[in-house]
Amino acid sequence: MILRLWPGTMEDRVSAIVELMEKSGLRTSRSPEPARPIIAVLDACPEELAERLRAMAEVESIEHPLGAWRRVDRSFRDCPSQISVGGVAVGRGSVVVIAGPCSVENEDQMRSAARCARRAGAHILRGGAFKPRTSPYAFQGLGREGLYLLKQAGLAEAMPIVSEIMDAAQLPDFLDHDVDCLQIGARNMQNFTLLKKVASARRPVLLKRGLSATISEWLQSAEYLAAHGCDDVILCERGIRTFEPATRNTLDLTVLPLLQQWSHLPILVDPSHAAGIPGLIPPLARAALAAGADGLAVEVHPRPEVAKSDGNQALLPGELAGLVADARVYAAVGGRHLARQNQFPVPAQNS
Amino acid sequence: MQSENLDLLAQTRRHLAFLDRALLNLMEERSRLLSALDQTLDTNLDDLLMRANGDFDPEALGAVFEAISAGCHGQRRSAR
Repeated sequence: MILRLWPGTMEDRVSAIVELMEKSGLRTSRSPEPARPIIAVLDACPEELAERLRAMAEVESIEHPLGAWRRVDRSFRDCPSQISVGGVAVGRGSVVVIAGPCSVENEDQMRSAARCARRAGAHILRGGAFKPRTSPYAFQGLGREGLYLLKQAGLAEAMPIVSEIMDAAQLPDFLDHDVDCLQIGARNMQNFTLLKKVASARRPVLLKRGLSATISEWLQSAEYLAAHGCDDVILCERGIRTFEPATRNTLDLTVLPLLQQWSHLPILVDPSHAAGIPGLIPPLARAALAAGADGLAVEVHPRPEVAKSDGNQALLPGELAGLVADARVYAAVGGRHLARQNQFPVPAQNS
Repeated sequence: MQSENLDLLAQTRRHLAFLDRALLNLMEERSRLLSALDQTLDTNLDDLLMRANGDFDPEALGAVFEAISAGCHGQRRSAR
């Protein structure tokens, strides 16, 4: 249950309402929404108390989320959330493109990929340092060294970075390398120990949808993050497993308009993993933006033919530039705009 | 029959309103893109004229894009 109080309600009245609920043994959580007081009630509220609350002059409405989530529910905020990833605005009309190679392989590859991504107009640099591979014999990533190379490439191009964390024990490495956004991969979407640990870092999190996760399960994973201190959650649809073998996964665009009704969180689409075929990525990206996606996450590689992982689904740099140009147009038609790329720092003047 | 015509008229009006909003949004985005530059960039009108094979009068294209360029923040004319 979520209580939406009228804008301008005095703080002492808000406190009195919270106290009333807590005296009844209910746990509550206050929304960071600045426009009005909004209180989530985390436990089941007895009908008698709900009636009493409904009758209060300060209470504008009582909303009931469709699932067991509270903090990520649409009614917990007045407007859709906008999240800053290293200075780049994501959501609420600001459309982003995250681009980079599947895996960080070496310094030259990462620097070249970052340069391509920046020149194409992408905003955030991605790159896997710890790789969850289906085969134990496949390239598993460079680990800590990969994070270092990714960060250096990001700094060189004034791009915030995002990388997947697979294990709670890796968190110090991610913080040491100042990774701007921590990615929870599809396979770990319901690794609740990892979610709790990552939330404690208080950094933006990119939460990919599990391979076979329902929307409800996905939002409850987002709620785990919010409940443990991370309000800056970005959802990412990357295709789900279906009976169709022609593509790597099936991109579920239905979630876009649906989640905009259910949640205030921004939602991105990863057409690279959904399709697994480079030629399908641009049309899927356009469809995603037309359906309201807050951005795209795509794989790009300067030389996909020699990539150590997923080269067969990576875009070439020129193709990425075309995708960003499409994104600009499709976002604009819907009254939104591409986010601004971070500016390069002005070099210090010697006086 | 008359009510069908009215439906069609209302539907067309909605479509036009959507297209007009989309055109406005695109012009706003064009202006936003140019506002980051200190220099002007000309529209490649010849290329557009080659592509103009629909119902829009090609002779009007030049005036349309001249007006769009004038309206863009990055190329706004200071003299009035």
